Amino acid sequence: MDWFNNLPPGIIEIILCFLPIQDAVRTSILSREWRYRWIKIPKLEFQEFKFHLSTDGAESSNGVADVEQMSDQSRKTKDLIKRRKFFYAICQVLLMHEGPLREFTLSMRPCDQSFIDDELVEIDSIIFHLSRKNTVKKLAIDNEWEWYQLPFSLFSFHQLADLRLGGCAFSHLPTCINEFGSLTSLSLGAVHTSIKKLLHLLSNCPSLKTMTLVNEMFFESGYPTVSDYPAIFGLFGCLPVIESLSIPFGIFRWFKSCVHHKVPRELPIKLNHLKYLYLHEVCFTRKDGLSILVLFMKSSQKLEKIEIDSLSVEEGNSTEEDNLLTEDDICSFTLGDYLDIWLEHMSELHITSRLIFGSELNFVKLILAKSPVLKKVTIRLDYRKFNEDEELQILQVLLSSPRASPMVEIIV
Amino acid sequence: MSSSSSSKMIELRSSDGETFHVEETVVLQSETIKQMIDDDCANAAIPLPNVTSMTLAKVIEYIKKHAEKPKDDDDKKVAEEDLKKFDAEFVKVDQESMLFDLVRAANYLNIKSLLDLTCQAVADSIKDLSVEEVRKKFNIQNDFTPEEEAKVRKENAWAFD
Repeated sequence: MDWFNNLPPGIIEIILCFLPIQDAVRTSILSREWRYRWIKIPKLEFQEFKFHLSTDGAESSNGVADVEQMSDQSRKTKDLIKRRKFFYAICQVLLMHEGPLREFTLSMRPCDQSFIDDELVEIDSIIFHLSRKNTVKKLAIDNEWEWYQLPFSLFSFHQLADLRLGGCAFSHLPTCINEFGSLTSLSLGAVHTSIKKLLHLLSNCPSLKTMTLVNEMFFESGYPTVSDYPAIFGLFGCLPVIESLSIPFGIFRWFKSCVHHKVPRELPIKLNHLKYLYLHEVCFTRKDGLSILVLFMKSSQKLEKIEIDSLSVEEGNSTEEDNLLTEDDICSFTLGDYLDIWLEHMSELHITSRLIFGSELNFVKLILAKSPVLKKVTIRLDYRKFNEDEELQILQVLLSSPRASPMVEIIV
Repeated sequence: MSSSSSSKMIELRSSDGETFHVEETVVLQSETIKQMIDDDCANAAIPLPNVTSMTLAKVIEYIKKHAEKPKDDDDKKVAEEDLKKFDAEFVKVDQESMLFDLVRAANYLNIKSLLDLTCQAVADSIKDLSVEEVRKKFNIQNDFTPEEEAKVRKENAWAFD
């Protein structure tokens, strides 16, 4: 008796989802009953780097020396064959697939530019096909750094709840996007776009709860200009129900050249559901560093947890001296200036830092003074640059600073 | 309600008549039992006619471990590591049939994380085997004629390369 026959309906499909797609398809050879079992799996994952094709075997048996000797041309040809096979497999699987497909992942590794165009057309067809199935809830497309121009059909996935894009470009957006009404999670890594288009996209995702921007964006027309600065803050106005936000501080650092850009007094709307904020590459040495954080604190009173990864002076833009804080700026900080901040739910603050700059300590002081239920503050320092004395000093400053919560634990 | 329910015990009865007492907060990980409690059907022992005592004991071991709540983030990391180790050990069962029993129990009791864990374990046990080995291990009868088998191989040639 086949052991799998005793399993309740739907379970074999779940098991097959945990196999790499090639292994899942290979189960078709087990018996007649198994022949078409794999075609109903609800989740398909195609990752080129995990894809083993027959040419891989040849490579290892030839030995390293041969591979090194291989001319550029023949390596290109081999890459091309591999990629053809990869796409052939995807089309083959989609052709056979039956029933609702809930998750689809396609990730490609970088390859030679010269043969990229054909494949991009094939991705278009794949996305078009999936959009017509209209069952996909989770879609991930990662094309490492090779600006894949997203087709319009992407904007008709009405069921989509989770979208992850990397190495993609939004150069053309349909003027009228069908709303991504169910989209709750969006992750963008290295996308090529403009602030205007990003704004257009976000304003059509009214249910977003989680947004992650992984890398800095790349812009069609160079860096944004001074007039775009308010628009950056406008992005947050499109996120009325956001709960978790993970963004690179870099989006504010695009504005290298402008000296006197002003951080607005508040965000366009209150982020009343925001519980978790993660900002990476925060540049506390910049004039607007602390102000931007304060802006989020003011607008999101439900915040429970903040995580910050800060840059040192050298990593920040040390060239743009006009934008850097002066000693006076740091000393003029007083808690009294922030009467309108009160973080009723704030419970944890974690900072990873390579350099504790005065304004960074001011930020921690502010959190300490304004968070009545704060439980934990951790500051991780780069040990190459700090000694115990300095740690002790930081701790002393923080311990002597006013605290709103009676039970906070501070760990440096 | 939550404070009083934390110590409330629920009685479960396996298919072979053995009874188990488990804290309500622990047993709520099973959507099926949660539904029964919500429907007020849990006043007497809950009968689980599809689950043997041996399997039920394993399931209870699993949900008890997964009910432990870490206090904060640092503890969370330690606890996550610990849980990972526990999970890895948990699916190392002596007999493969136990794994299938657990899959069925997790499905019946509707415990998503346990179902995923055990299904993953079954998948892992298939992954590195040859076709012949899979057939043998799970008692799958090859009823293809040689011609049919060749055709299936051709149909999905890319996967058999």
